[in-house]
Amino acid sequence: MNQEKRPITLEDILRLKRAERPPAAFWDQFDRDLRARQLTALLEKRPWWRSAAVSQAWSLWSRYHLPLGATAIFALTFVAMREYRPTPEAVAPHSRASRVAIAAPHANSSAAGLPALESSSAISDEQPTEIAGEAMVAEAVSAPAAATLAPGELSHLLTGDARVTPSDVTPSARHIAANLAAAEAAGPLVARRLLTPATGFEMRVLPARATTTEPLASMSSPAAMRNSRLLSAMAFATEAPARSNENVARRLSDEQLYDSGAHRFGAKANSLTFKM
Amino acid sequence: MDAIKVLGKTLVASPERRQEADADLTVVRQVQAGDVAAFDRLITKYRERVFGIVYNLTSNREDAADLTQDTFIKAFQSIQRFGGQSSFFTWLYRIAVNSTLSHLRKTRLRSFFSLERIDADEPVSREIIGALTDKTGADRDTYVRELQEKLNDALQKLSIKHRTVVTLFEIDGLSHQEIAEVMNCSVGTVRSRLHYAKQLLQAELQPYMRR
Repeated sequence: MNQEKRPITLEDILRLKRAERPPAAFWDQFDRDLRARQLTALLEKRPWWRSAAVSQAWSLWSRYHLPLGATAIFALTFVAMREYRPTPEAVAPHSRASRVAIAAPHANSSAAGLPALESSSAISDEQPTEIAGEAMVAEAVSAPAAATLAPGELSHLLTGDARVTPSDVTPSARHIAANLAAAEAAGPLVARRLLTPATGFEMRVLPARATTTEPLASMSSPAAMRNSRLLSAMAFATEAPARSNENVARRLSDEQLYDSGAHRFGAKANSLTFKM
Repeated sequence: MDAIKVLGKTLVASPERRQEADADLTVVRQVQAGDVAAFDRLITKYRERVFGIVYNLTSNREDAADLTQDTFIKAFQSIQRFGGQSSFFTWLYRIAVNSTLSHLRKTRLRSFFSLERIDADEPVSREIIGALTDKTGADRDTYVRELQEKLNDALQKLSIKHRTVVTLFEIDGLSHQEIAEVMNCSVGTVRSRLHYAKQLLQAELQPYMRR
């Protein structure tokens, strides 16, 4: 009777878990299994990084992991910020195309270097045939040379670097140029016949190519833009009132026009004015 | 320096625990000196307690047996690193709890019960079961089985950390300080987790409690 009145708490129920015990036979099997696994663990060679010495060293270092990591990150950030310099491409990535056009005149002065692709337009009939011949050589060489260019060389070519020296010209180009000069010296007539159509062709084709203009030159100046804007505004200002007066006059009926209290009415050639 | 640390730890422990810790440390020194057979004494002494904590955390007999064996093997392999900063049983409990928590995290989605029978002849359990029900014979066994499943179910609904605290405190009888050492957290955290876990368990097991 007393047991029925005894309160049962959570602790009492949890204490029942202590009574959940395996039978004695379980421990016999447990010991056998443990012995076998212990022997296996003894025979198993442990890797060197799990040896006691390494583990102890690691546990000693473990207290310094956080400060060391933070210091490393700080140092890395500092070095990265110190070494960082913006490249010209990063500053003005869109200026490459314009530089090709700008650099072309410089390339003209260089003796038939590879960047002289744009310079052929400057060659005329009056120029010495040597220069014309060299320019043609450059033209002839440019296609295969560009095909075999390394990325760095291609950018060098695109930027039209004026520091290109004659040594940059390929040996085959020099060889062809020498042959042409020799042929011209040996037979000027033959050479002229050979070269004249080419020169004529160049003169016919190159003006079309030479229409490449500098982007900055195509832009109008701010003063011109301002002037055109003001002029267009003035043109609208002179036309718009006339058009609105016509509209007003069209919308008004005759009665409204004469019976209303309009005391002043003015008409000009291109305008109507009412003053109420 | 080590002696000061050991003294600091043992000051908070009871005299019985301190004596036990000293005895364990002597055996551990023997094992460290090369007497491998001395480790068997530690196994025999702690196997049931370690099995109990692992079993109460997993509610699975087979998993508990495997994890208990793993615990002893890990302890044996790492015994050279045991410096005596804490008592051996705290160190062993920590290995067992960490292994079990790791196992539970891996098998969170496929856990199932495999329960031991409650020893109804034990005085404490007999008293509690007698207070819980007037039934006798097969009906009582069925009722106890149902309560056992309900209790394990309620424990499994707790998070791993809350379950560990309840198990160590209420079932294994560890103090707050010892649980804090085992779980590597503060005593306040242990108290807080214990309070929260008990609230949840009370809500789950309300039909079986009588005030």
